[in-house]
Amino acid sequence: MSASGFGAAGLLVVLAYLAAMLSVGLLARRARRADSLGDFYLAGRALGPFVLFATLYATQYSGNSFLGYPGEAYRLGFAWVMSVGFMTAIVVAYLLFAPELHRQSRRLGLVTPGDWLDHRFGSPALTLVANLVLVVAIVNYLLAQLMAMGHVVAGLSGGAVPYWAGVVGLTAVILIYETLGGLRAVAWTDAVQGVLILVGLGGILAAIVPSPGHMGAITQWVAETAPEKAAVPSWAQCVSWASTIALIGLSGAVYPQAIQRIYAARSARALKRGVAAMACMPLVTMVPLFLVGIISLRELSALEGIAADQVMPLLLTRWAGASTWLYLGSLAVMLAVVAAIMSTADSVLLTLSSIIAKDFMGKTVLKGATDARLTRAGKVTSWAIVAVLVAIALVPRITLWGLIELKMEVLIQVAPLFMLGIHWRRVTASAALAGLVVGLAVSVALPLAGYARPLGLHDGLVGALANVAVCLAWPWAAVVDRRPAVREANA
Amino acid sequence: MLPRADRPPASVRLPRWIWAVYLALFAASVPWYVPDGPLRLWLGLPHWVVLSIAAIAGVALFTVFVVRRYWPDGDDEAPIPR
Repeated sequence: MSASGFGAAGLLVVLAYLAAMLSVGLLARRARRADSLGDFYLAGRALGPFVLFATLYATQYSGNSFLGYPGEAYRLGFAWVMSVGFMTAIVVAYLLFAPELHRQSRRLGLVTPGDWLDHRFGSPALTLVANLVLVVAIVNYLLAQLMAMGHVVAGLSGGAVPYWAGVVGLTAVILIYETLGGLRAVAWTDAVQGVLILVGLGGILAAIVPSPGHMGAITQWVAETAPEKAAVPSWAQCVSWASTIALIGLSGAVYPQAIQRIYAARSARALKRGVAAMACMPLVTMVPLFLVGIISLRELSALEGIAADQVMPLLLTRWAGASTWLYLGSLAVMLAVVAAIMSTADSVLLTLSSIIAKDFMGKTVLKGATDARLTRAGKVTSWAIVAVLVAIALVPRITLWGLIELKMEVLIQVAPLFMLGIHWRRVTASAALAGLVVGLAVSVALPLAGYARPLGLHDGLVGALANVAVCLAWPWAAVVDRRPAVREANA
Repeated sequence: MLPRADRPPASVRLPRWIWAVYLALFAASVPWYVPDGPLRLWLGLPHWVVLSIAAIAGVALFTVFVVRRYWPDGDDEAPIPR
């Protein structure tokens, strides 16, 4: 069994899971209330506490979490415990803007992040640049999920199902249920997938049984075999650690799919409960995944580069062959991995579709079109985008963590728009646009000029600091803004 | 100026002191203050790993407190524009 992954039974379980997801898509289709953008992309703004929490959770924890993060723990060692911190920082960063953004979204009927930027700043140029940044970042993220699909299917089937078949097959299922039911389908499948992820994490804990004695022996082995992976981090490593927490925390909170879930909450109370529960999930989720990477240091022979992303599938197939209980536990983890990847990919794809349909096409070629027509355009666009990304994902040339870091360096430049703009009325459109452009320029120019990671800080974080400085120091910042939206806010 | 009934209410903003607490907790999660030395095991892990996880547990609990105590329920019944 270990040689061929989970065998026929495992394949049947996955097929049953995929059939269930398609059924949920059909149910969501029947539950739609209107042929509007708000109903398709925000589930009618009616997500209650449980579904909201589940969709936030299943969306935030992705293929990167289950494949890339254990792989990074394998490469870096115990210092990767920083992943628990940066996933928690994302939830903390919500507190900077989510309470007020949710209130405004209900009052104004917002659908996309660009809608709020239009309302707050009234600058088409700023909204366009910010949307381009968001699209670049989430296309990158979606690509990482597609690659993860291929990796996990290939790894878990012991190579019986090729990488390309995993990418194409799982993507097709996502496209079908998403086209059928929009965010309602995505959120409902996320609820199922979120439960599967939690069950799978239970399976991980059952499989690795990290008693202090067992864990201590592994730690001793790591300290003797690769001392740099167990040593107290140096000052430079600590700076990089803090920089990673800030980078991921600030950028992860402004993922457009996260912002749309803030819009989709049924009430402030539902959103509060969802966010409070999310604050605890890194401890429940990231600690086991971190331990998987550490344990695999001793369990698996030397893996380097892209191959380290295969740590989880390799361990699962090994555990599956050990005993019936471990087989069942590993099967739960396998489903959780597939669920985590699909739940993130579907959310990202839906958000991408909404931005392109409403913010790009709705302001140009489909200006004045009805909601129904824009929604149809968004669905067609989803299929086209995915076709291109699948083609790219079939030739992977970078590790999953590499993809994550790349998108975060760009995405963080949008964070000041929401976190400063929502509360600080003196941030004008011109200041925000100048800050955004300077931030992007700094983060791109630093590595190109040979000054990557100055003082150990991420280029994106340095760019964001420059971005904020420009916003605050812009000569016109103190001048009373005359645009209608800001005048209304000042009233 | 907008009529009084149409004016947006004051923005929902959390108290500033909570950010100082978050800064302290996140700073404690990075082991910059732990001196280099021989391996010390707590619960089978290097002790600085346990310190980091404990600090993040503090962040999580503090967040639950902040959300419950300082985030107002607000306008749950506000109309949803179509």
